[in-house]
Amino acid sequence: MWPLIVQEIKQLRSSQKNKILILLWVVVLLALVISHTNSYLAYKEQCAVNVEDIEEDKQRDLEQLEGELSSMGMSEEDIQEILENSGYIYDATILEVEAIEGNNDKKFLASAWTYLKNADALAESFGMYDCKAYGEEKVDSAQKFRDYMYDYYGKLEDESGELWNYHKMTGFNFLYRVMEDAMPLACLAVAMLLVVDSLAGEKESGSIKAKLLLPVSKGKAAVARIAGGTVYSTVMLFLPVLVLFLFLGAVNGFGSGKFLVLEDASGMKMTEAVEGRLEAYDTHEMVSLLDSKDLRISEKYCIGISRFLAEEDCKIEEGVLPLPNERLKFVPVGLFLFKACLYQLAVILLSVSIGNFISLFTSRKGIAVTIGVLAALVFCAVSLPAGLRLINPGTYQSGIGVLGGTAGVTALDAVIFLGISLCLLGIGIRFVQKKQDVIC
Amino acid sequence: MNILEVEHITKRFRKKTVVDDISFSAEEGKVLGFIGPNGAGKTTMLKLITNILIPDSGSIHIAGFDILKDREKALANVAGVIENPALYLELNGYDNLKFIQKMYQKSKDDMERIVEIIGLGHAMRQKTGRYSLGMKQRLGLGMALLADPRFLILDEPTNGLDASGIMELRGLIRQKAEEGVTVLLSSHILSEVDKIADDVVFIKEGRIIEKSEVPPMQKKYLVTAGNARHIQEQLAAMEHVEAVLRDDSVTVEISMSQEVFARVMQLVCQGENQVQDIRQEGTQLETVYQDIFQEDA
Repeated sequence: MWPLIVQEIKQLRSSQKNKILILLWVVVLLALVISHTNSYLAYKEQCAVNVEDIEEDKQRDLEQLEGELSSMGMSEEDIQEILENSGYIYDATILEVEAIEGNNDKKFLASAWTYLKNADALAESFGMYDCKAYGEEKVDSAQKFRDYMYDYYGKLEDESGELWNYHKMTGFNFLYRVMEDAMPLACLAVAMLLVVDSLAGEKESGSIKAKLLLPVSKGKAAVARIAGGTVYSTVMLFLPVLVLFLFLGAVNGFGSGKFLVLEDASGMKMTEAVEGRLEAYDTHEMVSLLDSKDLRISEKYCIGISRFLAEEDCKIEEGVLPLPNERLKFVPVGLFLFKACLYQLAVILLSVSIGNFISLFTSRKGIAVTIGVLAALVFCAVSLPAGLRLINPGTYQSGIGVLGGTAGVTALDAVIFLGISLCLLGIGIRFVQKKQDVIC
Repeated sequence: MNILEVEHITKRFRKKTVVDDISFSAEEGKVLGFIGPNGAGKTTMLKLITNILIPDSGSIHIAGFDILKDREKALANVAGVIENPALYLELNGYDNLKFIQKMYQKSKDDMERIVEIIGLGHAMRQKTGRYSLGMKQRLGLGMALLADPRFLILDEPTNGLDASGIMELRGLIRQKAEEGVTVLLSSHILSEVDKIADDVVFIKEGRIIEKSEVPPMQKKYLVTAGNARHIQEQLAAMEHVEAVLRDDSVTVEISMSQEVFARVMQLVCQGENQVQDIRQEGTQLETVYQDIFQEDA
């Protein structure tokens, strides 16, 4: 059977059309890297705020707030508490700026944590503020908090140049977002186009029948085709991904074996599995805890967390405060790079398996690709996240996002996904061995 | 010994019976012509023989092996070209041949010998997808020959071949038969089959035309002679011979069966007849074909 597999790979490798498809795939990946890098650099530039300016702002604003609170007749103790909590926002901003300047992801994480703490503490403070100022009268503290945050963000935007809006839809950022979402789809489509050629394509042209004259069983002939198509497609699609990850790792760091876990008050996981509990009550403790654990968190996650806090938790549109609680957890999930690579490999193998399977039942390439992509999408959007959650309750990602695989999923998810893909491939091979005539 | 035994094979596609209870055999070292109009079921039959299609009923044995039960052993004795040459179109000629060399564990010398036979020369380094039909046929035939089979199946092998290619192929098939290889030759070109085949199977609407249904093979000649009328009179008395004088009075049209050929020629070529030209008109196979498939024509 080996000569058959080798011949199949040779044939696919020599195809001009396949070369163009692989080139297209590389272009997609390069566009993703370029747009991502540009987006990140733009963010860094926007965040280039002088720390001393923020300190000055902090001083000035807190003095102003203190005067206001004093004039309302609030006790010294309560005023101090409110001032301390309000100061967190500035501390967090300073930490973030320092983190960006020094490429220090621990500080990044600490700044995210500080925002988190700040949001919670501010809510309490303003509740207290309401009570002190208006006696027992029921006050919509949420509304006040929202006003405060809007003021704060407005100010921050003026002073630091759209700190939180780094992800707005500029040309490059738009491309990045599109590519981030399009990459799994492109991967599916390219994998399908590559793999259906060796089965559905030859069935369509009728040339597969002539090749069945060889003295091997039809099952072996089919398996050789599936194996050849799978090996070729997987290697050609995964190799650029691997190179890309290695490049990004070399430039931005590879991430650590630990992964940040945040849960909001309702228990919704921002990330994944829970193991142990780490509590940190202030920024300095947070940094020292990170140091003591020798953790290095991929900055992507830190950016994601910051963005999440800015976009989701602090967006108080319905009069409630969906604030994160104070839980920070770390779970070992393997190297970021390793996990991401495994995930991409699983996506590719899944696509190839589905492509092969569909090709067995149709002799029309177009139909095979269309049904294959749709089947893979449905599988990934519906069955896979549900299945992963069933096996691994810590799974955060859902829907088609699970295909991205570079954030919000664990190494365990990646391994499970890879296992599922290999199982599908195995089922396809087993099926073709039993129902040999499907190859005709 | 028969290398191929086909017994009561039937194949239906949905409700249409494409091959209907066909039985025949092919003797070792013989060339068996397989003849029938388009849609008669020839290619389907070839696909059934090679297990590309599975019959609904009946059995096929190649070199004693049941194709359904021992596909690999049976097909180890078979090579050929069915419909289109089984080429990897993205690869060059050498890569295609090398694949067969590895599959059938042949030596490099064997391969080089085949390269010489098929005469593709420099084109062997080109992608076969860019080959003309004739070049593809040559390479497909080369791949079949490299497998060194006991049973060679050729489906329309002259498609796309030039005149010299056809002549070379004819010689090659005869040579293979002399070496003991059985050749099943399916072709539309009756004159080719006529020249090469030892035996012929006619297939019509999925059925083999029984020997009893096949009219006797007739040879038809046009003889131009100074004394054509005399030739016609001489032959009129002979059995299995029909001689008709044409309107020009110098040409006599002679139809005869195989067995009287020598005797007729002896008579015709007598000096007094002043024979100027003898020309065969049509092939005997064409005549039979016309008789069998007249309705289709």
